[in-house]
Amino acid sequence: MLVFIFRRLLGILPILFLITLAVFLVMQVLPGDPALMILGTEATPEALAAIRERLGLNQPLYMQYLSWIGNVLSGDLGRSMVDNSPVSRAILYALPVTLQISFLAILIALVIGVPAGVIGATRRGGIGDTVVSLIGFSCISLPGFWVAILLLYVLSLYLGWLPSSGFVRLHEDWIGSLQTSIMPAIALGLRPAGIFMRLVRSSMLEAMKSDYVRTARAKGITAMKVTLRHGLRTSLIPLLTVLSVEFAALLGNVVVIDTIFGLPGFGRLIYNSVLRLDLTMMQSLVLIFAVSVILINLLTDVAYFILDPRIKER
Amino acid sequence: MPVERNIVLEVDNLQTHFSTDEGVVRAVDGVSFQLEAGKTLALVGESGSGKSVTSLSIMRLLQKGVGRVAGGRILFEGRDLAALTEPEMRRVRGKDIAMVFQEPMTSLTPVYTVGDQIAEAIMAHEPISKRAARARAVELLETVGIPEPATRARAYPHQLSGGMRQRVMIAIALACNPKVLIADEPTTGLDVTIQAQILDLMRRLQKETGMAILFITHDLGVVAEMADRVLVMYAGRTVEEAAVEPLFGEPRMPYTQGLMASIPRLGSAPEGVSHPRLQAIRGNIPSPRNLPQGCAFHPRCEHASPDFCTHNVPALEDSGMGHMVRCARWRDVLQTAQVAP
Repeated sequence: MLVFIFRRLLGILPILFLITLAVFLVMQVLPGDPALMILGTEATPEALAAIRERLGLNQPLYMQYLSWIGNVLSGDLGRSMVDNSPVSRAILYALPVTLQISFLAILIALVIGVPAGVIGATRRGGIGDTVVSLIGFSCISLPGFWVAILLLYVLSLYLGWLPSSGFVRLHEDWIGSLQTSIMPAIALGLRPAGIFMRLVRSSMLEAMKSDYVRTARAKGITAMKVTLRHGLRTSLIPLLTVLSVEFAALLGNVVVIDTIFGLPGFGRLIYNSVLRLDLTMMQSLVLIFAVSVILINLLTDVAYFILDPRIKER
Repeated sequence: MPVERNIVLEVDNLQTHFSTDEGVVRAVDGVSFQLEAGKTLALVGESGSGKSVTSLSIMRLLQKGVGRVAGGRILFEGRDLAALTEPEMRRVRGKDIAMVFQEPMTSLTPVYTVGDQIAEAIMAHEPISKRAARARAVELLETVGIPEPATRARAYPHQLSGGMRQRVMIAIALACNPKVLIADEPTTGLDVTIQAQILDLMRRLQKETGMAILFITHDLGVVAEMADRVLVMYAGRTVEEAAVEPLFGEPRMPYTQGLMASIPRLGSAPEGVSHPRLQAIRGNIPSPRNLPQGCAFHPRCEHASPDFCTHNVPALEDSGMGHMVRCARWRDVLQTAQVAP
């Protein structure tokens, strides 16, 4: 197990190098001069030169890259080009918000999607199956921002049950925190819920027709055990693949969701940094997104390792 | 003096129907047989003859909404399995009647150890702790001839060979000492030497436990080795049934004769010919959706009479000493066979 994880980590190193390089170069290619952005178009050439000197913008590219990587490795993501505050502080402030919303979203997606998929597969062709399929398609086709606005309208404006914007941190007041994160999480989680539903349904249908499920039934164990222990358990392996992909996709959607619900998460950071052309901030955010996706993939591999004994042979 | 017969399973006029887009298909149409304790009955036939469907009907494992037992009785120790509720039937499966399937490579769940899968079968029917069930699983693995059973119990199916997996399947089937074992082509797809080992194992276990075996196969060589009695199926019906010696010695239904003639034999070639041609039955088994009028076998039969066989379904009749045959012309057929060299 540890050897397996270690080998995966080794494999990640070259990917990390390429990602940092790509992030760095793309930022260099982008139009717009940060020095001009900070000082405005009326700045004197001396002032511009001074600020370029301070930000290291006049050094050769590879030096800029190396010093950036060195700083990143020591936890220093640089300072915002807009207000000169440390980027890492802004990120540490936004990270828990986004983590909480995304995990809650995936949790909601699993809690809705997996049982619904099982119902669809076991009641194939029946009313339950039709309802599940209908809900599944709706979840996938309704855009997140539309669901978000609908939720806001009904639950906040009309019923007044939940606050319409803002965020309460978990350690301050967990009930309040849940209240502020439940709507964004639903808006984010509906799409993966629909996808999980359809995937679980189709892979369970496949599994229930398999020879090993027939063996399980021939043993005389209860129908429930056949469905869950044999049918569903083997369907979790394809679910895992989709789960990791959906998690990564979900991180991209936080921009819209943060904006609609006024959340101080990654989405807002991205939005603001793009508007203000805050290069250091953008660079760090893209890097963190890429690293998160890699981490999710690593976790997925470890989960495969636990769920599927056949992996160990390879 | 009448011989005492201990009949554990009696199938009486079984009708199994499949609903398809083109209407109802009678996959099994009026099959009857009796299975004695300690004896083996072989169900023989080509693919599509209804032999596997018969076994799945007995276990009530037909795919829901597609196949169903439409008529007849399946009596296990006097109880009609066809009339049981699903929870009642569940308690019969694996405990009273167990089954070994054709595909050992895909018949075990890939994500659990074989020991756990055997233990699951025990715990389904007995109030026993997981620990005790696992210990029993190891004993069962030893019974079916798996070396180092304690180690192998912790192996996953993909770590075992096909022959080993089939032994595990047999161990699962034996977990609760069933009175009837249904083996649906258990050696198909295994190497010949492994086939022989599995057959030996089943015979040995039958001798030790006294269970009855319903052995389903298309391989007549295996039938000769295993069976006490043989039932030949064609297009969902019994066409011949007899004890194994008379059936092999004097097959009376032209279809059975054709099957026998298609077994390769050493030294059966005429002088001067090194490789004898195998006698194949001409044509193919008819689709159960579109059975021929009259005797289902007549389009392939050398003895078919154009008047009778094409219009009338022959009855299954006793041709003497319990040798059942479904052929209108079995007497003529028998004569031709005796006249021929």
